[in-house]
Parts: sequence; C-alpha cells; structure tokens
Amino acid sequence: MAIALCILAASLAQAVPSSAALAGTPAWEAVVVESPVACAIDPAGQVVVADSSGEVVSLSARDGSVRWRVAAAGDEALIEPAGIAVEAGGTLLVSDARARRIFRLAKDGTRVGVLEAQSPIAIPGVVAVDPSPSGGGRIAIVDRADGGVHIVLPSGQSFGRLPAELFNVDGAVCVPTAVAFRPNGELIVSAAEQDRVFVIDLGTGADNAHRTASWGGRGPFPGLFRGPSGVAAAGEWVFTADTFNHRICRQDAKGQGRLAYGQHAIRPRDGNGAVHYPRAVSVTESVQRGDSTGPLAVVCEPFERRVQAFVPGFGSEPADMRLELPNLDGVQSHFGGAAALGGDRLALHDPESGTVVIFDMLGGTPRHVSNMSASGAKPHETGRIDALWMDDRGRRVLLADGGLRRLALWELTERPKEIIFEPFMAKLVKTRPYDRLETGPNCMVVALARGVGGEVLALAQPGPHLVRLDPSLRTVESLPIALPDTTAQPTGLAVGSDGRVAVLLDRPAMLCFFERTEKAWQPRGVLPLKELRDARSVASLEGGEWLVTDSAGDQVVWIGSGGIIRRVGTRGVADGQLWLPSAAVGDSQGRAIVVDSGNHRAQRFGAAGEWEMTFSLGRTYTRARSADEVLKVKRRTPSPTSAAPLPQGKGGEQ
Amino acid sequence: MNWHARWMLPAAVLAAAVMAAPSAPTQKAEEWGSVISNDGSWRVQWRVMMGTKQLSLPEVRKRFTIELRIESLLEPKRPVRAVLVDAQMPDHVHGMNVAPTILMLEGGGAASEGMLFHMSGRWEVDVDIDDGETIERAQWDIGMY
Repeated sequence: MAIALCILAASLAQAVPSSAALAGTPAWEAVVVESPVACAIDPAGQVVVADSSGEVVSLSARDGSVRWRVAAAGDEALIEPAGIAVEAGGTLLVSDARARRIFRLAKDGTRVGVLEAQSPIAIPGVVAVDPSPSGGGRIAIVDRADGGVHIVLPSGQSFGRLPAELFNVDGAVCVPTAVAFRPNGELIVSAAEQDRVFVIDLGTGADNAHRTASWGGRGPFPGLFRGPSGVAAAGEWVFTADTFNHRICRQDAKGQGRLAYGQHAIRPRDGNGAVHYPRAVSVTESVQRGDSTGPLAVVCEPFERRVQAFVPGFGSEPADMRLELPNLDGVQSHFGGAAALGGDRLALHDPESGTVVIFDMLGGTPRHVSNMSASGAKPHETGRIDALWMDDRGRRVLLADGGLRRLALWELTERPKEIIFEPFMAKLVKTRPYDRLETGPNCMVVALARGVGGEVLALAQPGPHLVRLDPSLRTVESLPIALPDTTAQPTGLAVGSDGRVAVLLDRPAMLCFFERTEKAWQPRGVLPLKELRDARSVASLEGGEWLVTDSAGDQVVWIGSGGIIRRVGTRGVADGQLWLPSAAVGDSQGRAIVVDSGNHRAQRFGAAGEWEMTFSLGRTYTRARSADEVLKVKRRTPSPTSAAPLPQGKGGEQ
Repeated sequence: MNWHARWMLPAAVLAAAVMAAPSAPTQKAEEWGSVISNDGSWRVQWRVMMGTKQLSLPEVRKRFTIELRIESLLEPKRPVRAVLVDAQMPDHVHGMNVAPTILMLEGGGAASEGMLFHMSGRWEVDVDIDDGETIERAQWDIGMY
C-alpha cells in the first residue's frame, strides 16, 4: 500500500511542474553592487546594472561575473544612476537623477555622448527603449520630479509627454514610477505608490495615446501589488517587481495570470531564489549565455545589495498552481527609514503594513504598546512615511507621508499605569496636504524636527524651505534656506541644544548649520563629513553632539564640534553590526537607538558606543549574538561573517 | 497582511470587546449629539435620520443619514470648506461597504446620506473638516449591540 502511494505521489509530482521550474529557476546571484536600482539585458550576453551609489556595472549573463564597471570620476561623473536601457545598436542609456542628464555609453562602458532631450525633464528616472520595428527606437523617461512620462526619439526630439489623465483610476491620480516597452511597442507603466500597472498604446503621438489595460490594487493576492516599483516585458508577458510582496509577478497584457516567482526572503541575506524588496526587473526571451542562448530574468534588490538572475518560464502555468507560503520563523518586524523619540515613547515605521509602531521605553527593555494607522488612502491611513516627529511628552506623533503627500498628526493617550498592548491608544487629530505648505509645486517634506515652544520644524523640497508649524499644524512661517552648491540632497534635520538648526546632506555628507535671525535663516557654518558615504538622518544629543546615520557605510557616528568623535557598526547581521541603518535617535542619557533597517530590527548603543540590546516587535536580546545565531545557521566551524570580537555583555533573550 | 498584523488582530478584537462597550454615547430622539474635534477647533453636532424620522441609533443593515452642524471654535472663525464623513469598525479593522454622499448645507451644516452599518458592534464615525489649511477630525462611537 505504502509503495503504491509513493508511486502515485511520484507520478503526480511529475505531472504538475514545480513552481520554481516554471516560474523562475535561480540561475545566479551577484553581490558586487551597492545599490542596484535598474537593470537591462543586452542580447549579446551582458547584464548592465545602474547602481545608485554612482556606478554602472556590467555582468556576464552566463554567471553574473563582473565584466566592467564605470565608476564616478571626472566632470561628467555618474552621481546617482536611476535608469538604464539598451538601444538597438547596443549603446546604453543611463539616466542620472542627480547629474540630471541621460548619458550614452558604448557596450564597453565608455562615454559616447548625452541624450539631449527636448522635453523638460527635471529629474530623469527610469528609462526604456522601444524594441518594436515600427517604434524607431523611441525612449520613455519617467521624470521623478512630478511623475511625468516623456517620450523622445533617439535624436532627442520630443514625441510628447503622456497626459496625466491616462493614469487616473476612479478619480484617483496615479504617479508613474517605472516604464518598459512590450515587443509590440505598447508601453507598460507602473505606479508604485498607487499599486497599479498600466498598458498604454502610444499611437501616433502622446496626445492620442490611450490606455488599453490597467490592473492592480493593494494586497498580497495574485493581481494585486504592494509597491510595484519596476516593470519589464518579454514575449506576451508583463513582469512586475512587486517590492513589498517580495516577488516578481507575471501577467499578460490584460493583467491575467497569477504566476509569481521569487520566494520572500525570510531572513536577511536569504538568496538562491528568495527575493527581498525587488526594485527592478528586466526580462528577455533570448540572451547569449556562454555557449547557449535562452531566456533570462534579472532582478535588482538594493536592500540586499544584490542582483539575482532567474531562468523564467514563458509557457502557460497549470491551472492548479499555488504559491507556497514560506516558514515565517525568524521574522519579527520591518522597520523603515523614520524614527522619533518623545518622552518615554519611541515611534518607528513599518513600511510593509504602513503602520507606525509605538514602544514604551521607560522600563529596562522597549515594550511594544500600540500601533497607529495602516496602508491606504483614507485620512487615517498612510502611503510612504518619509519622516516622523514626536512631541517632548510622547503624546503627539506627526507623520510626513510622501506617498499621500500630506502631514498627519496623531495623538496618543496618557501613559497607562499598567503597560499593556493597547490597540486604540492613538487617534488621528488632523492632516495637512503638502500643497498647502506654501513652498511651491511638488512639495515634499523630507525631515522633521522639534522646534522651539512645541513647534514643528519641517524641511521641505524644492527649495529647500524650513517651515515652522504650530502644534496645530498651522504655518508660522516658511522660508528658504541657502545650502552649499552641491548635488547632495538634504536628508535630515535637527535642532541642537543651543538652538542651532542642523541640515544634513547625504553625499558628499555634511552638516549645514543655521540660526534664525530677524528676517531669515542665516548660515552658521558647514561641517564636512567626508568619511560618510550616504548620510541619512541626524539627531541632536545633549552637550552639543549630533548623531548621524551612514546608510551605505553601515555605521552610526557621534559628531562633536570638530567632527566625528565616535562610531559604531560594521556591515553584517551580528548584534552590534548594521545593514543599511536608516535612522537614529538619541535619548536623554546620550544613548543611540538605531533603526537597523536591513536587518529588520533596532539596536541600542550606550553613550560610549557600547552595544546594549537588539529589539524588534518580538524579542529583545541583551546578550550579543553571532551572525550564525541571528540567522539560525548551524555550522561545525564559525562562519567567516560572524562578528569578531563580539561585544561582551550579560543578559539574554527577553 | 504580514504575520504580526495577523496575530495582533485577535488581540485587538479581544481588547476592544473589553474596552469599547461602555463608550458609546447616548442620544435621545429629537436631540443632537455633540462632540469637540480632536484638536479643539470645531464643535460638531450630529443626529441620525432615516428618511424624515430621527432615530437615537441607526438600524443594522438599513441605510441612514447623519446630519451635521459644524461650528468653528477658533477666533477668528474658520470657514468649513469641505467635509468628509466615514465610519469604521476599529475592532474589526474595516469600514463600511458603501461610500456615502456628502451634501454641504447652508450655515455650516452637512448631511452624509447613504450610510450603512452592515454588522453589529462598535462603529466609529469620522468627520474630517477641511478649512482650507488643515483637515481636522471629529469622531465618536456608536454602539450597535
């Protein structure tokens, strides 16, 4: 009987192909890039990757080995590559969001020119080239400044800007994020914030372009997305990098089909088919891979500093195919790039659920006591949180929501006598749309800080402007500030104990100080931070010190008047190590609470930089763990990636 | 829904069952309920209407209207530019299955027509008042038990 069952099971297994075989078998992975945000496949056998840290990297389509790199150098250096595409002749188009240009590179990476687009593109983002015979190699470019989609010919002549109405769904405005062309010349557009994908027939001009299909909505089920930030097309299929669902979706041009590939990475650094926050995807039906040719899909995962390749399936999936859910062991939380500390309460952002989580910090270990908001578009829901603010009593929390382009002020109840999880601790007080902040069109708030007398200080782009808001979110004043002439972007804001305002620029990193005089914000000096690679947040500490996170450098630094005085963190997953830290706040004792986003956790360091604890929504660890312990890897010999030496400390798991 | 949200939902429901029951406001027929908005800028009076008849509470699975009188408590007074009315069940993490129609009335009033509470339990009514600068929320609970 048992033998018969085994035979039956074996025959069934053969009859129904595994999801991996059909949906994308892992081919190779390349951990040779820092921040891969776009990729393209050259049929001649190379995969080119735009690395937003300032490089274009060519990988062999066969095994992912590096063929060449174009690094940042010279007057026309790449600063922040944001998009990449292969033209018919094999030349590469590389858009640079900071240089604000679109470069042409030869197959070997040498610079051959610049695309002089006639269209007014402020911040070029994702680019795509039409491969259809009738398309004439036209180029689609997303303008990051306003989400406009521009079509230009290879000569730079404008084909037009697609009307924004094409991307309205049920009265809601969708903002394009990524583009790709289908083989027949139709344009695929994704709107990551609104979780939708569009198919556009460009017709004979942008003015008569029309939408042929649109699908999406927020959710985990097939046909729904959570942040579709990249698209690709091959054969009859549309591929979508579904970032917060951690998968690549494959559907036809009507949105039909429910196949996805890539398995959600459960632990940081999971690979070999596990996908973690995919940002971009490129797919081809035929590429030279050594001695053979065949289909290939390439996925960019900046969260893992990795590019993975899959051999995709182009056949029809069987009707009964189901995606297997992974074992959730080990996942505690997902923390985004925002944090705020007020009184005894800490607010952190979970980008996957759109929730802001509240910790009570008064006891020895942080205790998760409430959640506020969730993903959605209603007044009490959130899109993408860029910054958090909390008043000094920990009663009011302000969310800078870049997805819905508004500020949202919440209020928490008083601290109860007994600390328990209280789901209804928070209520929405009010919201204020960004377009009412009087800073100009396309306003985005990039950072928040506590001002004087309970005021909110907001750093808004473009400008930038410093906006003072009273505790009821009404404008006290809005004034521009003068930053050094650099391509660096402002990413952080803090008010020091001496009343100085510090604005943090990312790369080259520097702190710019301002003081409010009668009429304006007067510059009061610049502190260069050349040792930091990508400064992400700044917080003020007692005694005139500042706390700055260096995301790309995987470190947090304490800064005094003369520069860096202390640093913590090396790249890794062991306790005390960091992976893409996104924010840090300092408490009244000079300790640093660091949002270790890339490791799905937060860590606290003492005033002298010593590691104290790791915590998340689940457990808190006060005994430092090795990398293998964190990843639950069992080895006979220690892993070379283990932290050494480990911080010494007593304690354990709580 | 990620895993911790999945676990938190039963906890939220349990906590809500303990805490929410006594919080429903009382309102007699022919009277208006009253609430101050969450930042103290507005006084909102409300009543439940079904057709021309005023009810102390809506009836489950029957359409009703919420009529509103909105008064600015700030000096100088702020105008009401727009009003959004919605309802949700926080314990169950969902809202209504319908989208009400909002009518702006003379003298700072509004009516939200086509409201529907499709199940019993604690409903939270949310009124978001837009004065052209900020959009402030007033909210109250209606217990449908």
